[in-house]
Formats: sequence, C-alpha cells, structure tokens
Amino acid sequence: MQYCKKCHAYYYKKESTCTICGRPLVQQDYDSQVITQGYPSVHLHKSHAKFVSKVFGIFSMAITIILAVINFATYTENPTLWSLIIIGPIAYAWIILAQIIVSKHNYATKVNRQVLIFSLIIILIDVLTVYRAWSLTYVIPALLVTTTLILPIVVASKPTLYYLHVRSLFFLIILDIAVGIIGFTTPFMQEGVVWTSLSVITAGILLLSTMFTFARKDTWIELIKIFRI
Amino acid sequence: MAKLRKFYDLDNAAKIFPVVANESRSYMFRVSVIFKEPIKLDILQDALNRTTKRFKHMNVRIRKGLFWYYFEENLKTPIIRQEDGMINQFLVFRENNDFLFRTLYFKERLSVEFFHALTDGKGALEFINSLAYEYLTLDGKTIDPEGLVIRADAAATYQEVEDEFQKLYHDRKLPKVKEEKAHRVEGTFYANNYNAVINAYVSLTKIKSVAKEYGVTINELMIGMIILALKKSGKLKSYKNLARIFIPVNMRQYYPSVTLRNFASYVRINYDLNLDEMNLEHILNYVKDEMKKQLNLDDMVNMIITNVRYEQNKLLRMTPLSIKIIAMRSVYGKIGNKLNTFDTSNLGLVKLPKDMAKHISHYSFMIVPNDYTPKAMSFVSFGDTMTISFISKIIERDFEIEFFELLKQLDVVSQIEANGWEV
Repeated sequence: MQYCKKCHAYYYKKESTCTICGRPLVQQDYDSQVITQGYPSVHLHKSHAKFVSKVFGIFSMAITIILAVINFATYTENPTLWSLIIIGPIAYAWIILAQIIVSKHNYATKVNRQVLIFSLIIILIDVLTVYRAWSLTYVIPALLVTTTLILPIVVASKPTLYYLHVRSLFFLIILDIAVGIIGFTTPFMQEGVVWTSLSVITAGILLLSTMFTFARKDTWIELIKIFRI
Repeated sequence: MAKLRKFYDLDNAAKIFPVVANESRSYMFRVSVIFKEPIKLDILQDALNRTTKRFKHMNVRIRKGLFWYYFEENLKTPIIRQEDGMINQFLVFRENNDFLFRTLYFKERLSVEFFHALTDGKGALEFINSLAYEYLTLDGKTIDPEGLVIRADAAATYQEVEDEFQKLYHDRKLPKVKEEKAHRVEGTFYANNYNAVINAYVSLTKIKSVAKEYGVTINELMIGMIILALKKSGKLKSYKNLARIFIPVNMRQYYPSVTLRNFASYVRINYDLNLDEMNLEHILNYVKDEMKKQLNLDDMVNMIITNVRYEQNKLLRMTPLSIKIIAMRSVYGKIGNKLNTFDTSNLGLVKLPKDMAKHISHYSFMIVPNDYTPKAMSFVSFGDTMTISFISKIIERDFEIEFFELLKQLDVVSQIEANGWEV
C-alpha cells in the first residue's frame, strides 16, 4: 500500500499523493483489515431541458418587453392593450410548462390549478374588454361543473389511490361553493341569472355527499390529517 | 394485534427539518455497510422492498396539512441508485418516489441516506442492519438473528413509531438559557454543495487503549482532539466567540425505548480558543469535566420540554402551516446553526449476529455540515475497526492535517479512503 509519513496513514496503491496533507506517498507493506472501494467520480447531471428552457425564457422575455414597449409608446394613438394578445399566450404557455409538464404533482392537483389559473385569466379578459360579467356568470361555473363531474370519475377509477386525491376534491368543493356564493352576495355577476350559481353549488354539495357516501372512512381520515390542530 | 396507524405527526425534533432543509443544508446523513462481496442489485431491490414495508416509520411520504406536516403510508417502491460521487445531497422527495431516504450502492458498499425528519442514527442503524440481514438471507446465507437484528417478517409494533418526546413533556417552570454565538470556521466552499469526505479506518483496540491511558471515554478523546486540532489550525490572533462542539445524545440510554424515530437530545462543549493551552491531556481533563456537567439528565429533558412546549402552545397550533414555515425559517436563519462551530456524532459499536458479521467488512457513518458549520466528524465502530469520517464543505484541510498529526503522536495508524477533495 501507499503510505504518508506525515499523516501516518495508508492509501490504496492507485493513490500517489496524500489527500490530507498533499505530500507524495511511498510504498510500504500494510495488512489492511477493511475492504475499500473508493468513491466514483462526481457526475453532475447537466440538464439539456434546463438550457433549452433558458433559451426560450430569454426569447419570451425579449418578445414581451418589445411588445410592451411598443404598446406603451403607441398607446395615445391606439388606446388598446393589443400586446396582451401575444403576451397572454406566452405567459400561459409558461404556466402550462411549469404546472403540468414539469410539475410532479398528481393529476388532480394539476387540474385544480389549471381551473383556478384559467378562471383568473378569463376574469382578466372580461375586465379588460369592458366588464360584462360573462366570465363569472357562465364560463367559470360551466368550467367548475364540468370539472366536478369528470374529475371524481377519473379518481374513482383507481379506488386504492382515492386517498391521495381527497384534498384536491375538497378544494374543488370549496371553489364550487365560493363561486356559487359570489352570485348571491356580490354584484359581479349578471343580474337575474342565478341558475349558474345554483348549479355550481349543487355540484359541490353532490360531490361532497358522494365522497362521504362511497368512501366515508377514507374521506374522514384525510380531512383529519389535513385539518388537525 | 392492533393495526398500525397509517399516518402520524412528525416528532418534535423532526418538525424543523422539512421547513429549513435546502440545497446547502440538506439534513441528510448516510450510514453505509460494506460487504465482503460485490452487491447483487436484483437481490438488494427485493430485500429493500421487504425491509421498507416492515419499517413503518420509513415507509412513509411527507404531506402538508393546513396546520402541520404529517407522514402517511407510501404505496410506491423505493428506488436503488448507483453512487454518483455526491454525498448527503438535498433530497427532492418527488424524484425519489416520495421516500425520505435514498438507497445507493457501489461495488461492495451499500449506503442509505436518511432525511433527519424520519429517524436518528439509532433508528437508521436498525434499518440498515435489517436490510443487510435480509439481503444476505436472500443471497442464500444462513443467519441466526440472535435477537440483534429486526427481521422483515417480524411484526411491527406501535412502540416503534412512538413519539417519545411527547411522553417526556410535562408542564413545569424552566430556567431561561442564553445561547452564545459560536466561532465559525472559515474557508472556500466547494461548488454545487459538494461534501468532501475522508474516512479513516483505525484500530478500535488502539483507540480504546489511548482513551484508557488518559482516563477518558472514546467520545471525550475525540472531542478533545477536535478542540486541539481547531486551536492549532485556527491561526487567528484572537477569537471573538467560543468554539462550540455539538454532540447529540441518544436518549434511549436513559429512557429505555424501542422507538425507531428521533429520540435524541444534545450537549455542547464550549471552549475558549484564546486560552494558551496546547497540551492534549489538559484539554481532555477539561472535556471530561464539561461532559460530566453537560450530561445532566434534567438539563437535557428541560431542553426537550422547551422544544415541545412551543408546539403545545395553542396559538401556535392554530397558526396555518404556511405562516409557521415563514416564521421558523426566519428564526432559524438568524439563530439556527450559528450556535455550533463543529458538529460530531458517534453511532457507537455495531453489534451483529456472528453469522452475519463474517460477511461484513466495516461500517461508515457520515453526517452533513452546513454553511455556518462547514466541517463535521462522525464515528462508528464494527469489530476492531473504528471509522472516523471527516466531512467538509470547504476545500481547506488545515483541521484534518492537525488532527492526523495528533493521531500520529498517539501512534494511531489509519487507512484512508476519500472522495475527490480537488473537484
């Protein structure tokens, strides 16, 4: 084996300098009591995907800034936020990339996040195009009712994994009820149109009843886990 | 037999780790068992699946509730990877099938890196011993466990997942203890949060005889040598703060418990590096006296009670987790690791059944330092081999040079195994 006189330490034959003090090693016999393997060379995982996303990130930022500046400079002649037509989809593409493609969350969480983000975008479009309340009155309730119908069916297709999605379904119920209540308590929806609010509340209550009817124990345990103080 | 619960709270010690762990302080530690033959991957995977199912506190994923983190059963299969040269790196649970431990292999070495929220050194050792036993048995070896190893087909008990900290808690008035800031070892940090490691394999018999000569325990001998090596490698004219050596203490030696979760307290040996003392014997006498004072059961229990008291506070309990996280990170950033100069940990002597010991060469145990405490040392013994592991986040190795100089003066020969310090 190789030996360092300064550190009184032995190394395997392939070493030539002492790791501790840096001095050269000399050959010396030693009866080793242990089997050593050394350590593999460091492999840093270089991600091509990260590089590509950085390139697209710079492109997106450049386009966004250029369009925003031109829109700002020409706003007095053309008082519309036309740049949002391009900037909006670019931003949404990045949201989809982060929330759906890259994210390792389960599908129910991804669906809920998309519903929430899409709802906010729809409200923004409604606000920017002279608020007529079509977003909160029709589009968002329709989106929520559809999601409340389809998502539990997908979850129910794998009953053993139901417990993983309880919190997502519960979040959906809260969203249903919150959007439904907005129709009755705020002036943000079209006057006289209550059936959409009622349907979304009904969908939420039905989903809650279904969860407690078909999976009472699992649902209750999950709610205890989440809300335990 | 009562069915084990499928979810439970994090124990008191574990609650901080998911909040403050990041790339530069991963709160992972590695326990390795080195066999005498190269590892067979397919057998190891089978053994890992069985052993993980048996150890309920390991077979978990961590989830966020509205007020607290909690563990629940993990239905996925643990992954085995080949070592990639990085040690105790930050663990992204989602990339590890949601498991909070990482299993690695390299030639004859089987390593498991544990996130500290799961377990402490003792719990980790039980797991890896059981895994090694299962692996050897599946490989055709006949081993009588002799009651020293938990078998994968043995029934689990709820005592193994008990939170012993809660049992120690009772309401009483406690003296306020002011913690002092520790002297910080400075240096040039490696890139990419790399942890450089030197394992020194020394004769346990020799170390024991040296310790006996000085009238101290092995632990005290190591602490004394650390202090002297810090003094000699410090090279500062004066030190503003004390050198504070952090030593975890296994509470199972005071409160018999079979829990496999965290159940440890800690002590700190404080030393004024401005003192002129360069004699190892005098420093060891100082360490011996300090350990006697610090290893006071009442004080250690008081520390546990103080920590548990925070989580018993009604206002804190009702605070949403997201606010708790912000507050805990902020407090930890200000105080946290600034209380230690050097971290140590001693896993003790590993005892295995005779039939199993003949297939194993040695063990190694590595904790992880952090940005404020860039150097750490850990020890574990098996048979007549004591493995002293030096882990460093900084390139400078003045401390290690002085430590080995001391080992040479004590006529302790070592065999070295290291990863790349020149990366």
